[in-house]
Amino acid sequence: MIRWRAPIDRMVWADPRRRARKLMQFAEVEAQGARDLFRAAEVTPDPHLRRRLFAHARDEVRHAALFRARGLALRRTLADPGPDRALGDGLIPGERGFDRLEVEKESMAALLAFIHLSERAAAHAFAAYGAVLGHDPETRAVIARIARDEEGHMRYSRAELARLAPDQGRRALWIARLRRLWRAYLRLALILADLISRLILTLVYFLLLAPFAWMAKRSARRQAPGWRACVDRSRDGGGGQY
Amino acid sequence: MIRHRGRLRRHLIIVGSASGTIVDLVRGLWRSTGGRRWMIPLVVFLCSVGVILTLAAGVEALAPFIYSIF
Amino acid sequence: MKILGISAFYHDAAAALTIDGLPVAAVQEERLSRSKNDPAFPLRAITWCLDHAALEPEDLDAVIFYERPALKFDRVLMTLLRGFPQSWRIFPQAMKNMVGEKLWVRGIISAQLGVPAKRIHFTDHHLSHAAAAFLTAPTQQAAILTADGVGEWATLTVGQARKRSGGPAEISLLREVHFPHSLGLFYSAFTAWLGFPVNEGEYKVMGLAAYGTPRFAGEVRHMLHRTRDGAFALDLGYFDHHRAADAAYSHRFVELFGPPRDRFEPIDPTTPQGRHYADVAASAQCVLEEVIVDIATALRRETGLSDLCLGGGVALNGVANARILRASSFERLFVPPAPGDAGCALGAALWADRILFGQPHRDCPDHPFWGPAVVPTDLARLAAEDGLSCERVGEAELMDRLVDAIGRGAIVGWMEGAAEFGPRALGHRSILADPGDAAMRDRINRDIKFRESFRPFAPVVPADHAETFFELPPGGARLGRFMSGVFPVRPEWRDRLRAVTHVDGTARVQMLEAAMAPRLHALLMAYGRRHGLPVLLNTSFNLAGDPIVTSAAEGYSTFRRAGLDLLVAEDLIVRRDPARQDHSLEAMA
Repeated sequence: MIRWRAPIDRMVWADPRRRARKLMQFAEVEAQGARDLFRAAEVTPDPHLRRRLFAHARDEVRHAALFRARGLALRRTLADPGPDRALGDGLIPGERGFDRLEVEKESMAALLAFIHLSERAAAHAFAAYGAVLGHDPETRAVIARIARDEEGHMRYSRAELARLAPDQGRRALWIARLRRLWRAYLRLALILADLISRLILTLVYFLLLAPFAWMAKRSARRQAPGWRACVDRSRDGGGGQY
Repeated sequence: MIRHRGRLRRHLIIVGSASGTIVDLVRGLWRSTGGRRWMIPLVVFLCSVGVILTLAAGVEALAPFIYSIF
Repeated sequence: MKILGISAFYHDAAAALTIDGLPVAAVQEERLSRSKNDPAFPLRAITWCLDHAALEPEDLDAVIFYERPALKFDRVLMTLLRGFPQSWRIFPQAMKNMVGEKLWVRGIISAQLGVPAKRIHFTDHHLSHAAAAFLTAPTQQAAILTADGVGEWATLTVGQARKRSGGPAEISLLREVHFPHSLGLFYSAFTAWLGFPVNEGEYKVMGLAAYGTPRFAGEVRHMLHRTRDGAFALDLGYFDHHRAADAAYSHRFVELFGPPRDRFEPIDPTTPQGRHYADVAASAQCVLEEVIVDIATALRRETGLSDLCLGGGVALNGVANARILRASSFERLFVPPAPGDAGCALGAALWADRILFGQPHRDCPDHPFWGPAVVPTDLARLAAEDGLSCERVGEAELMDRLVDAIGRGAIVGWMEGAAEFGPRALGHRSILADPGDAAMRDRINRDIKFRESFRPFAPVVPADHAETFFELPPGGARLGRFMSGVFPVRPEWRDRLRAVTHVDGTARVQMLEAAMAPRLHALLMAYGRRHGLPVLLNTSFNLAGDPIVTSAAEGYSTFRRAGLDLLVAEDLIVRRDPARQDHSLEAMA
């Protein structure tokens, strides 16, 4: 798993600008993950699980701080840190944390299965990044430390799943796997749909809008800034949307 | 208790009520004191595009295919 | 009549329910979804409002949306056409936003709630602001001034309104300024340039301004100049909000003030670079105040009315509000607890009741507590499960313990009754602490709220003691009711109010009347008797990036995350046990 992606990871992590940007993004993902977990702790009726989720959330807060501190340190060495974002958010599934998790809508089994798989994906991803970061020992140390925690999170979430849903654990994990696949497809479909719609609307813009734009500019020239009388729309009976 | 409707059903209701909104918009532009009547054809066209976008959003898994047909 | 008001799709969505002309429930979606400034259709908020009143959607006589989506579409499209061909980059996104979702509000409401389309109504965005400010204010006749980023076309309106209990109400907006000329977007451009999130970081600009001097005011006056008719206009060469979806200021803006602040780096107002940012913030604040005070002064002359109701996001600028009160010769200023878009949900519902359906006016209760109530038994269960010390105590003993603890440096999470509607903690969801200890301010900023060190905290004081500690202009007490004004701390008290006195010697004080929040009032009085001044530091009960807490579980979670010393929900008191906190309460595999 790690071996085949090593050239890609090496390329991604070689550029210090991209490295800094990814670390700052990871910090945001971890901070959001912490919020999701604190929320999960707030809604769970099981006191033992609440304590586990709380501890996990605190770890995520700590991870966010570690990523942020390292990302900032790297950024400060750059003459031009570049934009905050690359194309889209540029994150792959293992880097997305709990990715649009709606805690209240999940059963505890589904939530724990989802946490388990997310942490496993993150642990694998971080192990892979650690392997290509020989040239940046400080970043490697941060990632290695967090990867160790992610393994702990994998274990506790699996154990809690077995404790709270002994009969449904395997099924919950399979459903969570399928949901992650479905989400990956949806993300791809939406990116594709977004590209197609942008293309269509851009074509509409250039093919159709020019004469209307001329009219709009002509009408704008007639309007000086300043006060305008308010239009009385009270006669529309409140039904009018214009 | 608010009755929960499926995503596709909700979007079909939205599409079903779109004509009323378009009529409101056209009527508003027609009566507008700022001389906006020339915008009506463009607005009607864009609203029609919007109806397709809304339908596509109703079945997000099929969205790229609906756009492709369009 | 049962009327549901909704605001959504821009920022800070909310729902409000009125029955027979009085508010019964109002809550922002973020307080329930736990996603800060949640703009999504407020289904959770609507569900809670209906459940609270034991209503079904079909029981509603009307649902009213706070603005006119088709008119907004007209503005978006016209702006794109006027920006042709430079607007090509934002056209697809803007169209997808509008015709892909936001234009079809009637359908969305109908689909989500099952309410027939004919019961769904719309009003003007700024009329919703005006109604939220006027119809909730204890005044019979007032001038109206609303200002925000943008509604449909209007960005600022002036007008007047009248009402009497049992009689008709009338709001007439006389004039408006149209997009792209906007005081809200002007201020947002500076917010973005200073590296703060737009629609959220405007407070920070106001706080930072106190560290600077307005040495760029001349330049800023060119960017925001006055028109001959007394309105204002932006020099659009400095701004990008009319051309781009994700940019607020232009290259010319950057040429004038230098490169924007790196949002990842902290601001230190003691460094030359930090002072530069503070000076730019001070200049923007100064010019904003000049313009809005001028408009208010002219409105006072025109209407001859002594009261002014202020609405819209710009009304959250407490420094500007206080200057309007001092300089415009209005005697009283009414700013509702939720002057921003969330408050429009309530404003729209009241407008529909009084004006659309012509129901007689009824005076609204003058408080902001329309949200979900805290359930102390939930807190008792959580604390017991975690083995934390948790006690129910009588009122006198509770006050005694809290006064003693705060005096010794404890920080207290305070939850009482229904949550506030609006962005401010006004006594039901607060963090309270000693106002005299500057180290306390730094501790709360650094360890609890995780926010910039230059941001001040607000004090809360009983209204009848406010004059002792703060220099209030006539009418100041009203402005301080919902923490809407910034006033000087009297010099002789600044040392004893170090934690709540900003660098320029001011404070955004809440002046609390006993009838509004009796228990907090009692606590302030008890604190005053013991420690000599009935003032507490009062900040919203949340952590950075989170909405203010709503339920006992959220309060408990925040109490533990923030390391607060005590948590109070009604008569229940939970004490932190630092020795046990990190070890036995949190177990990890």
